[in-house]
Amino acid sequence: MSTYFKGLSFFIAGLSLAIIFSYLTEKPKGKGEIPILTTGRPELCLLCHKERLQEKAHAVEMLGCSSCHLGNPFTPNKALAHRGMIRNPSDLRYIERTCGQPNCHPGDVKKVRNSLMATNHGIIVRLLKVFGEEEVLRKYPNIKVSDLYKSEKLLRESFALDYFRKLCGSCHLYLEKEKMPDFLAEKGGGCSACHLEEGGRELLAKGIHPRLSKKVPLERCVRCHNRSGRIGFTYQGLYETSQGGIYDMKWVDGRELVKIKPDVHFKAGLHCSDCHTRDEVMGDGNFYRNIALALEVRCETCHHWNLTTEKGKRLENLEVRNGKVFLRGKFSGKLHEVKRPSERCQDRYHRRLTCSACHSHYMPQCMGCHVRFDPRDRHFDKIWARERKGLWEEYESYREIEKPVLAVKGDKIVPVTPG
Amino acid sequence: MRSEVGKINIKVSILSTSSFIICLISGIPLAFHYQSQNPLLSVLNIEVNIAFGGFFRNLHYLSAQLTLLFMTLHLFDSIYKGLFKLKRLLSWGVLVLTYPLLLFITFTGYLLRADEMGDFAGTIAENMFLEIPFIGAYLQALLLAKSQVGLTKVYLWHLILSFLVTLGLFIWHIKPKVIFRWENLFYFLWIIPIGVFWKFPLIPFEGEKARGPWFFIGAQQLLKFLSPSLVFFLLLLPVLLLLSYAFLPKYAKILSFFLITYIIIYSMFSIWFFFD
Amino acid sequence: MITLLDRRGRAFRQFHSFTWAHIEPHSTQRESRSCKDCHQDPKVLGLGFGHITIKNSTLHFEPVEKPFAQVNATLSQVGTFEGKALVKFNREGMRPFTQEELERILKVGLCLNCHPEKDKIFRTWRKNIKCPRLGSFK
Repeated sequence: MSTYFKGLSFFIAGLSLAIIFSYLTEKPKGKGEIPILTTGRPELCLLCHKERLQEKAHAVEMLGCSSCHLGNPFTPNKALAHRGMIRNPSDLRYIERTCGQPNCHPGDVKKVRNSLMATNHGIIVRLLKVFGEEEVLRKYPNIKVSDLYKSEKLLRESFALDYFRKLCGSCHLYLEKEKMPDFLAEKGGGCSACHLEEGGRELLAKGIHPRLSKKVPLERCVRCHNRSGRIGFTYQGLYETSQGGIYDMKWVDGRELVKIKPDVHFKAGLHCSDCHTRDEVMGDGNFYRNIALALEVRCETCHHWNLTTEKGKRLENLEVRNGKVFLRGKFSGKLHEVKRPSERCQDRYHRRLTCSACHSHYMPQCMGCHVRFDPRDRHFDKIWARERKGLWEEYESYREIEKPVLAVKGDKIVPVTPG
Repeated sequence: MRSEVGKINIKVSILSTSSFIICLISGIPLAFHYQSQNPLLSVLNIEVNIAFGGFFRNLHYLSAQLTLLFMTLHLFDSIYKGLFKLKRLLSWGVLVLTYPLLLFITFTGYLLRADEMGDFAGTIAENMFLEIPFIGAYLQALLLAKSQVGLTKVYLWHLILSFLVTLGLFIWHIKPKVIFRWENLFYFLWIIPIGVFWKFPLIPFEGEKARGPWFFIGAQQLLKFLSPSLVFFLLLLPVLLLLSYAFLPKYAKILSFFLITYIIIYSMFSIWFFFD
Repeated sequence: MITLLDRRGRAFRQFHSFTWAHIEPHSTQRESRSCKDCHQDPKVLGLGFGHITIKNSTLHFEPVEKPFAQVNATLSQVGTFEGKALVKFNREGMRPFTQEELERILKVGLCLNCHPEKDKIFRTWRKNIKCPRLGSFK
């Protein structure tokens, strides 16, 4: 009987120690009043987290933390509260439960997922056709970037898709934020690819949550739109040289740029989103095969005073005053008078020319683009965010910024460039 | 008749009693701080501000589940060993009825957490009561009345029924002399370390499936296919089956067959819920 | 041009797909390009770098770049003078200029050597007007 009591006293002593220890370690930092949101929902996250949000739409007093970042706001235990948490709520994988939940932005879930920035369908199909890998297209007629995260043999061994993973794979919305090194870390991540302020880490260190904003500045678009046609560079008057010569500045990834004459719209202070509509960029719910089908804004939308896009949607930032049309700058708030085309544009000899055939003065042209695949080396796979076998190297014969070459498209004459 | 019946498993009996007692004791500190008018906030207050509040709430939850578990085992044990043949109709009936009573107490406890999952479970239960023909509305107003007076009635039933069940069990069923012995102390103590390390936090609703307490998940799945009153009847069916053991001891095997089939089908529906 | 190497570094598959894409350049300027920009420049018209000459009363194009062996086209070339496409395009229904179109465009270029851009001859021009300096050229 005495051993029984000995064991018992040891057990009870150990138990009380365990209870006291767990109580001391798991005690929340903040004690006192239970934080309650304006919706009436208690939010224990706020016992510890004091980060300030800058915009009113997502005010911390209203949404708390868990509305977006999930986790469990009903427990003061750190480990339990953080279980199931999402660092980047706008990742398109969880979007129904976060940004796209019924109370917030439910309509945009399908739209964004079907938008070309999330599917990259056009790019992938083009590559598959160039590489002659029609069997992938037959199995996946609606192939999307999100399919590439599967590790199916067909998708894993395709050369075209391997090319995409390693060279194109960092410019799409399914990219996981902060998973990649250097400047790539800020790219991708669903909604936050465009709508989140840069420099989140530094801001968080100061206790400020990076701002989410409706207005997307040019710089954020150009984070991705700076290759292939280089329109993001050309628009702001930058030209990527053939590297290794004189240059004015370096891009974040080290590419050398020289300054050239910018687009007139850039000089007037217009950003990409001043012309390009929400439905073009974030998608209108349809699954488009390529960018030309998704775009609806034309020069004529503003300059012919059409006011509506090709798909019949009214542009909100065009205002009619005293019989003239003005564009309200999204960032400057200034009114810009929209000028009508001159009489010359309407002469009968030149009626087939599109506006840009004459008014675009230069365009980067890379002649003799050559790609080489070397299985002996390794290359960073942007989809799976790790080094993988097989290096793709890009070469070109020569590059120049020249007057755009013209070609005929249907009944119009359009500028073309080696693509 | 004695020769036909086996001996009850004393360990399971003691375990179900000990977890029940732990549940009662851990409920006492919670009752002091719980406010049925302000349920969620007071529960969170217990978790955050009250010394060892979270521990007691956790222990209360855990021991309640254990009570249900061991009570079920105890029930099956007594059926398997044919102990219903020793009981008179009335006492068997009363004992069997304790089981749905305990389920109801546990369910009210689930509602009292007042987190969003509990909230949804309450709404489902209320609407099921309302679907019962003729007396549905009265039953709902009597037992839950969550949409009328919040959790006040639910809380009172939780306390009153716990008290009554304890009273009844200790007077007619549990023998304190057998339970409260030094040798049995570990039957009580083993629950506590589990309660220290295994946490059962409140669950917010995050746009996924709202899930009721585990013993009603199958009913939730059934509700997708059957009318609520039928589901309510199906939930009462095992009680009727259990009662009939005393009426028809000769058909015990058939009754057991029905009971086991019921349990298998019900658990299949419960599992289906997660894959649906 | 795509080259796939094998483990020993030898090319096991090589193929090409010269594609020219219709991309809006986003380099809009207020004033348009000059007349000579298009009417005299074979590169802009898709013939590639080179010269336009008159031989035997017809227009001829002489490239300055060496044609690229596998496709018999220079790197800056989109189509031939006869209007045959030498490259692929990124959208449906695209083609280089036909011979008839090229001749029509380039003939205006001949005028631009003497007549300034804003000369009224470009407004009053009729088909029967013959240039005295071009002689036998039709």
